[in-house]
Amino acid sequence: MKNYDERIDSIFRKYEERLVEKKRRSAIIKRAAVSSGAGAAVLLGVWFVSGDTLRNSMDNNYPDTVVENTETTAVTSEAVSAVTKDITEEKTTTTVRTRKTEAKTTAVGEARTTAAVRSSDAKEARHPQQTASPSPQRTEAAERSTAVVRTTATGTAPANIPTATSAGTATRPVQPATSARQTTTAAHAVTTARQTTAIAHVMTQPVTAFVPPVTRTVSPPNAEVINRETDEITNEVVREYFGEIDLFKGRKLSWYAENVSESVKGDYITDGSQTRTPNGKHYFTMVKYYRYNGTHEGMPEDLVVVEFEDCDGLFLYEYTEDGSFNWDYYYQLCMEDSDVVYKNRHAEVDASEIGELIGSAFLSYTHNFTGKVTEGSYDVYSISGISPEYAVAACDDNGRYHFYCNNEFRPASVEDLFEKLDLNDLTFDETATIFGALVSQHKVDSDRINEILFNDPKLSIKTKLSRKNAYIQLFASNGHDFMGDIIFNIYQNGEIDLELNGNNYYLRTLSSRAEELFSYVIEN
Amino acid sequence: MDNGASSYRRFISGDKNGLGDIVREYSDGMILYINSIVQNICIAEEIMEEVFVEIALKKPKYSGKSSFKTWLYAIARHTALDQLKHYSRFSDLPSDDMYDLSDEQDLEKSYIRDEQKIQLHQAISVLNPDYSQVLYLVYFEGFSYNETAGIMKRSEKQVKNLVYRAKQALKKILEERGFEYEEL
Repeated sequence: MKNYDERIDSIFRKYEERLVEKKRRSAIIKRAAVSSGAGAAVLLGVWFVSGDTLRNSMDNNYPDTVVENTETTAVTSEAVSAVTKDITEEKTTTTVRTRKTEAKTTAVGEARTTAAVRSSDAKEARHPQQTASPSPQRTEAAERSTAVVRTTATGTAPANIPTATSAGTATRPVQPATSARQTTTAAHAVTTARQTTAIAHVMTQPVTAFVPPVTRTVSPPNAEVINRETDEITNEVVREYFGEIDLFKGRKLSWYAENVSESVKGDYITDGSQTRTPNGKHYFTMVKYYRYNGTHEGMPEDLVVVEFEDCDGLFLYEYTEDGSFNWDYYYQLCMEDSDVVYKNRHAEVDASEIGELIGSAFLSYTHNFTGKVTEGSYDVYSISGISPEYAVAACDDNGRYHFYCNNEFRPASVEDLFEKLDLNDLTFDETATIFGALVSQHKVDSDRINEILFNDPKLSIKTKLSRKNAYIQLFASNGHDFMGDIIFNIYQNGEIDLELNGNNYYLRTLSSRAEELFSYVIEN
Repeated sequence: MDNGASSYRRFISGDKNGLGDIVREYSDGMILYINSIVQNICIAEEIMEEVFVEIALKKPKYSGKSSFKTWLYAIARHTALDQLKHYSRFSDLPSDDMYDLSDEQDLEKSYIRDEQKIQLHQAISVLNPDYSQVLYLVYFEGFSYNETAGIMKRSEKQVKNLVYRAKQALKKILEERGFEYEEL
């Protein structure tokens, strides 16, 4: 180790050397520039002096030149044809190879599905009471996969983790899923409609995001719709968010980063405009807003990537046909150093039963309404049994599992949902209070609780319906003050758990314990 | 911190001793900081020299938006990462473990001057480079989160998260080594 004087000497010695080197280089460059400049000036002068003669001679010789060019072109064309042929042959070979690979993938996929179904069967056998009433849209596999989730539901829906969006819950009813969303490759198509449906209903966007590259064929972005003006969000930026981390053993997330980077290459739409958050309370200035209309495996066909001024990361929304965002279909991804802040819908499952522990991750959540941020290190499970895809579940310190997927059910209507859920046994005490606010003033009709909940404008109850949640927010009669939220996690087997703004209450069967439930509500 | 800035101004205006003063003031800490990135005290020393050579050559403008030390360490980090890339392209890093170790210990003793802190520093050096960097900057150099964020080109929140996790990791290491420690 050098002392200070030695260090200073060494620094200045290096400095002098570099300075000399720098001067030498600049001298060489100057000489080269001068000599090449002089040469160019001479040539230019010659051209000017003999300008007419040269141009005339070029005109006169033009036919000869054409003939020569034609011959050259013909020869070149032959050469090109030969090369093209070679390339075509190579491509054919490659295609054959690819098909073989796809066939293998399919075989593996089918095997995995079989395993998944068997696993589900086993779980169903253990829980015979869980005979879910089938939705017309669902396939058997979807139900089975769903059953896995329900079987292990802990009923401890965390209040501090957003189930819809970080900014609030959408007021619009959820739209039916389009088949277009489940874009699949031939390989996945062959992996049976059963699996596809399972993906559609059980897991959507974020889950596919974590699929290792080997199981996917990533379509290249549609070159025609790429607008290079969007280069403000470049791969580098995205990598800054997602790329240089080694979470999940470096495979899934980096692959996903690639996809996001492609996504943000969509058409630039606008910037600087203000937009309301889904809960309508806040305005954010949208910094960048891109529409991605390329095609990606497992991604919505029409996706909007939004960067907000005051929010970290990228927000991805489905872009609906009427030209608006689908606030319900949303996820936020951002990166904080090696922490993935990943906000999305969640479901609760006992991940340890169906997944494999693959490591731990630092996750951060922002509560929908309070804005409270919960951070912690979680065990991360790779879930392969629930569908052909991988999913990630995290277990927090309280033993709750958060299953990261966009696990939404899109009923055709509110009635469609409640018909199946049989919530008509609900009764409200007319003098009941919820979070200190009287509910009775809203003329609650105990026999038609559903209508009251959805139609009474004074109570400003907003609902969010999903496959697993009936999300009910209560506002005071002035329509502004948020009173709290009640989340019914509803399962088709009749199990419901209730979350009251952070206080969890578990109810096995709503109809038999409704009184207890609401006495709890009143007391709390 | 103004001393560094004024020394730098002197250097810019032609007084070479200005740079010498900066080297005397900041080189030890900078070597330890760079060491947390490159994990090799000899290379850290070389990079420290490289940082000052670059400063002498390019004479970057110090605008005073951050403290001089923050500005200097940001340059050091940038240079260290560049050098790290450079080294990774070539053969193995030159290393003599014993030599490195003794050098590092000497520097720790002269710069940190606190046995407990030295032990802590040694435990930190085992951590992931990001963790050791952030802990070194915050707890040894006394940078604020904001300043650390500036040096590491991260947001303040990211730095807070990083510190949190670094402390957890450090706690684990200290426990494994049987250290008695106070809650960080």
